[in-house]
Amino acid sequence: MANQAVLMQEEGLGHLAGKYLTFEMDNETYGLPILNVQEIIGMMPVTRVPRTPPFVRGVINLRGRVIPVIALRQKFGMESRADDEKTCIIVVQITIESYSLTVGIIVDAVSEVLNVEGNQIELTPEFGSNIDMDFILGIGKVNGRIVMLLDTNRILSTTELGVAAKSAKAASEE
Amino acid sequence: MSTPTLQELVEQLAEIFVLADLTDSESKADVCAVIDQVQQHPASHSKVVEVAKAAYAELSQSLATDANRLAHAISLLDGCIRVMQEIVRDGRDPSKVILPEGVTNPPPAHSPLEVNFDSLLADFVLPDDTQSRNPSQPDPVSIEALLGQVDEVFAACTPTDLRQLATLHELLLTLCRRPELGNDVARSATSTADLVESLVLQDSGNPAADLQTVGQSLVGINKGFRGAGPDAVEVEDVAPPSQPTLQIQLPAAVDEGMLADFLGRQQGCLEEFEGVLLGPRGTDEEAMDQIRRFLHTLKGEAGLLGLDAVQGLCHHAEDKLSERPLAELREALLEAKDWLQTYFRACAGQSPPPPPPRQLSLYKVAMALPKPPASLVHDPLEDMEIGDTSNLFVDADESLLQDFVGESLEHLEAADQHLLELEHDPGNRERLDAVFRAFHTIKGVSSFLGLTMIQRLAHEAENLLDGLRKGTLRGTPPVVDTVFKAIDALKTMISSGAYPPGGAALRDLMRLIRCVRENEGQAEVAAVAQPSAAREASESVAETAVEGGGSVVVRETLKVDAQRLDKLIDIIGELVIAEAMVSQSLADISGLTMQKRNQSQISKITRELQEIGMSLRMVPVRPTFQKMARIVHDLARKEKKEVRFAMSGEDTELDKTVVDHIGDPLLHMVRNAVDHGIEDSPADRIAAGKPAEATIELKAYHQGGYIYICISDDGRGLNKDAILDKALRVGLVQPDQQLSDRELYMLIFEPGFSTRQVATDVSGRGVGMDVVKRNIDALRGRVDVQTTCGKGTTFTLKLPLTLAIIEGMLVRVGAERYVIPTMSIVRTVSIKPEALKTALHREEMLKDGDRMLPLFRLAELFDVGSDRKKGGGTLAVLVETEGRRAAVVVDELLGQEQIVLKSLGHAMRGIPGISGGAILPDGQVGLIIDVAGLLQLAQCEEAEAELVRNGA
Repeated sequence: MANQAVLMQEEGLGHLAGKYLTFEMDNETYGLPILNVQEIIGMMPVTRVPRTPPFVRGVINLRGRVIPVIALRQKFGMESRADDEKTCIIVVQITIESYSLTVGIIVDAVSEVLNVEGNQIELTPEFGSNIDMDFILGIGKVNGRIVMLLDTNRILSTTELGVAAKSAKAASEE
Repeated sequence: MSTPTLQELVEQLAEIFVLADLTDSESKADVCAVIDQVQQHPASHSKVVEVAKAAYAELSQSLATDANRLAHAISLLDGCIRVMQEIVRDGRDPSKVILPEGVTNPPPAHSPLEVNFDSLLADFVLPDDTQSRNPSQPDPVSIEALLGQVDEVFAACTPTDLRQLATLHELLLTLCRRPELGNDVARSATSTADLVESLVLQDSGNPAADLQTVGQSLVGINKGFRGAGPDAVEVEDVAPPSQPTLQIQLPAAVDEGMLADFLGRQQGCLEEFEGVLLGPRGTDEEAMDQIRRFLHTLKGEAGLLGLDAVQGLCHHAEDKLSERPLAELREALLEAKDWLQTYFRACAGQSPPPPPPRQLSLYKVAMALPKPPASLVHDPLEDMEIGDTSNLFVDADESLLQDFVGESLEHLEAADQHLLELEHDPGNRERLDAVFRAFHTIKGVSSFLGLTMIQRLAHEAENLLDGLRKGTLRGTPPVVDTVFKAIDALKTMISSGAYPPGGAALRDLMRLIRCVRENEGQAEVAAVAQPSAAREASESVAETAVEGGGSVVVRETLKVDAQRLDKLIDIIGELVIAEAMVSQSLADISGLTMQKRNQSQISKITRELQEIGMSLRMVPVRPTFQKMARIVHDLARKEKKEVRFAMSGEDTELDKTVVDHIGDPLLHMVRNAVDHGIEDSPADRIAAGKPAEATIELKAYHQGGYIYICISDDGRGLNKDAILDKALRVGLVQPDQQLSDRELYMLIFEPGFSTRQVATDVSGRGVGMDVVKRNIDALRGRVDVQTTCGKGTTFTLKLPLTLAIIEGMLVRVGAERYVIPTMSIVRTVSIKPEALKTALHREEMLKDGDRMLPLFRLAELFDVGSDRKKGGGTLAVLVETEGRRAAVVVDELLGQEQIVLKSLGHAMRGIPGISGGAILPDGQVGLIIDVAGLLQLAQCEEAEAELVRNGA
């Protein structure tokens, strides 16, 4: 991360400029780089997969492909809430190490596609070491709104996937 | 049979000449016989007769031991055949055709340019050289060849090597008798010959100096004859203005872009080549390899582009490299590199063309060998270089090779099949032709790719088959077996890209083929020359060229990325689900007749689409069955049993993955059938009141969503007592245990179970049937045995149509649905509370008959809410895997379904107890339970709980 921070300071945050798909959760606005987004689908029945971390809601059938879906609320440590008609799944392509993965992200509601200029982006403030801010690329300030720009690839990072697999594996090995 | 036309004869001659090993007197006789026919053919033009005569004379006089003479004969013959082809095939006016030198007419007055073609042609490494460059002009041959030989022999001469000197003398004498040499040159040749003679007779006071003089005179002779001047690279006094040059005429068919690309690359390559040459001193292995690779690649590319001179040079250099250390060749190779550079530049029009490569010193090194190669084109079997493990396909063009490998294997497979048929129906001409064509095609392509060994073997086999075609041979078992052996060897070589272990084996095989041909054919070999036979041969060649496939039905196929195919099938699956939803919602609404009609149309199309989608991965079992046919044949022959192999339903289609996996099990079962199933000898069978010929039948058919494959034999049947006896001895069965017949027969699938006293090389170790069981289990299939003692045995394999679909029991636990593969389900039981026992007040057990089974609750393991209370009456599925049984408690059984397997993807792998996902009929995902994993998981849980308790 240190490298990235240096990079950001050197080059400004211009490289983060672009279009973001924004969505709201608990009155906070988040943005996902539009290039990572494959599609947005309405909420559908999710098959729970045993022995996975709580934020992994399960798997769904995306036109013949079985993809995992994660609940961003649980992931971000927010209180879970019942799905409603606005709840939807953002299907994103993420790249972890060398393989790419299609993952569904459950969010409360999607808002819009926002164009964020380089000069509208600020570095992630330090909240203290106990808050993991790795998956936030930066903070965008557009028309007086604050958008947390998410790093899609880090939302479901290797370690966390590892935890998912490990917790289950550990159980089987013990 | 009508007499063959002249053209057919000539074509036949051309073919056998290219393939014949002229050091072999028999092949030579073949060639001579055909030439003779050409001569005597009523339609022959006088010019053709003349040429044929000359060729015949030269060939019949040449001796296998005299390499030079033979080489000369070959080059002359080559020229002659070309002339014949031009007159007969291309219809050229005979009076305008220029005859090769050495034919009795006076030499035509040719320009210096033509003389140079001669010199090129004289290089017998390049028999095709002139054809592409100037196809309309036949080339005078012999004087140049002679000079070339003189040079070569001289280069090999040492003052003390009397044999070489004698050869040189003889050559010189031949040379000076040539009228076309001109007085001066002839005189010079004569005096040189005298000098050599004195050397031979050891009259000379200073042999070394005399030899030098000879060398100088030879240079003079060369110069004198060529008139226009020297063209030898190493000769200093070149006269550039009059220097005859190689005319570079590129074949019309070559793509300019390809050539440009090739030329562009060569500059760099040549420099690198030079670097390697100059780099390490001594015979560094790596450098040698690099050089070889370079030459080989260049040869291949040049061949492709029709740059025959380059190809020839490379070929020659390769030959030399394999014979002599690099150090000796370095200078010559550098020279060759310079020549190549000039040549390529000339091709690009940047410089005048170089002199022909014939004069490069590389060629002079040629004969500087203790034992000169008998002939570069036709070295006898003894000279074959076969590396034991060397890779056959070094540097050959990748994509061409891949095609070759694929196609050849198909051809061989087909040949195998036809040959098997032939065995029962020896007179079937069409089958024979098909086998012949397979070899012929492989021969052609392999020679094009430079896979000499394959080509040779194919050629030998073809010769043998040709004997069959012509009726000089009969399809006796030894002959057929030999052809089978050839097919096998070719298969191994082609599929592995390596020679069979032990190069000698290959050589032996070729010898065997020849031997069989000679012995079986007896005196009839001479009949090869019969006109009818010749006609057939040429006919077959024409046929092969035209139709290629012949009686083999060629289905057009397309190779498609398997992933795309899977994607397509996925989407079709989704379409089916979506369609079902739409039609359901339409059905709920009254009215809408039009829409409903359209809907029914759509659903019809969808179903069709789904069927096609599923069939895309399906392939017929035929090739697998054919392999079995071959195995039965070989084994029967080996064990001296008479076995008829019958198959039916070979067009039954199975998923490709399944087909790939049933090969091994079938192999073992078929072997067992021949080895154990069938009585030891035909006499035993007759004694048992059965026909001497046993029958093994392989049958495939569809039934109820499964494929059944049956292997039946009409042999002894399983010996129940022997099996039981053995089982008792090894402790598989307890003496008091009651076994049903089926259970008893299933014992033969136990590992290490064999009733055989002695293991043969075929079977008897008790491994085969274990393999069968395991593979079939892995395919989620079943194997069954039916047998009647004395009547025979039938093994039945029940296999799923595809691995992508499994039969599963859909169960519900709370709100979740899971799929338990039907394969691992023993049965389902409804459990009354009193049937449940507990151990240590914690683990639950289920009493099943006299066994206590562990009982697991899926709801607990997977942590889902269950509607049923613990301890109450409940529903359980008895599962079995790897010999362990357990009861799994579920809430509800939803029914049996065909389920399409899906991977959960990378992120979700390794979840214990779950083997994958399935798309359920309503489009949702259901998880498929991995029973083995589940049992393991359950035990771990217990162990964990145990730990917790102990800790507390």
